Amino acid sequence: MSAYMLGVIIGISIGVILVIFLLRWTKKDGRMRCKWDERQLLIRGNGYKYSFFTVIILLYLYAMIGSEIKGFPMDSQAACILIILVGAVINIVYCIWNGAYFSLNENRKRVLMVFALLGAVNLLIGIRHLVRGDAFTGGVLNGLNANLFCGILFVIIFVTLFLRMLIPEKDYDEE
Amino acid sequence: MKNLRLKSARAALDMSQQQLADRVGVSRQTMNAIEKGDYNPTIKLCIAICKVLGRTLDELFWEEDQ
Repeated sequence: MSAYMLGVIIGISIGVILVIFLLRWTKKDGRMRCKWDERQLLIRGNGYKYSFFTVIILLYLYAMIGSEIKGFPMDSQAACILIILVGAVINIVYCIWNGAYFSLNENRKRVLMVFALLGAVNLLIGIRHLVRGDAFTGGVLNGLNANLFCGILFVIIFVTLFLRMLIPEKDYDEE
Repeated sequence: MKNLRLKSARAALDMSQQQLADRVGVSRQTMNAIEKGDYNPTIKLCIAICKVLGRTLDELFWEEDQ
């Protein structure tokens, strides 16, 4: 087995162990699976529907006219990653706004701590690529901007959560 | 349409939306949506709410013809 393959296997193993740990650590009951109530499941279904159709439409538009636009600011890899993340943003923002993002058994503080860490790491890596110039190929953004896009996604999540906190729900009984 | 009977039954037991939601096993936002009339709960959830509040389905969820 080559050193490269060994590195890949060790990397994936550490990643899987880390994900399992974080999934358990962010739950109040120590389980990996999230529990949602019936209304949350309905909202989440709508969120997936909206993000699904958004991704379909954007990918279709990109396939039809993206390559025809002169001066399009990114290559196909960056464009596809961005479209996927736009779909994710629509689903997440819709679910947060309708109180269906966090499950019943999730520890919100711990989830937000993980998000803050992931967001900061992705933003730093993304900015590093920009500063070093790796983020551009032939003057357009390339796939290395995935980190930057992910970092921005986490910023959007925090902004949405903050706005949701600021704007109280109608008829919410705070007693 | 707002479910004022549910709200008053909850208030009679001096429970908050969060407390009732925790007892029933749903989110606070879901309980708020039911009281506001924005969400129609399943019969299973209606029964769970009735059991916690000590009321019948008719008392909390049956709409009389106007």
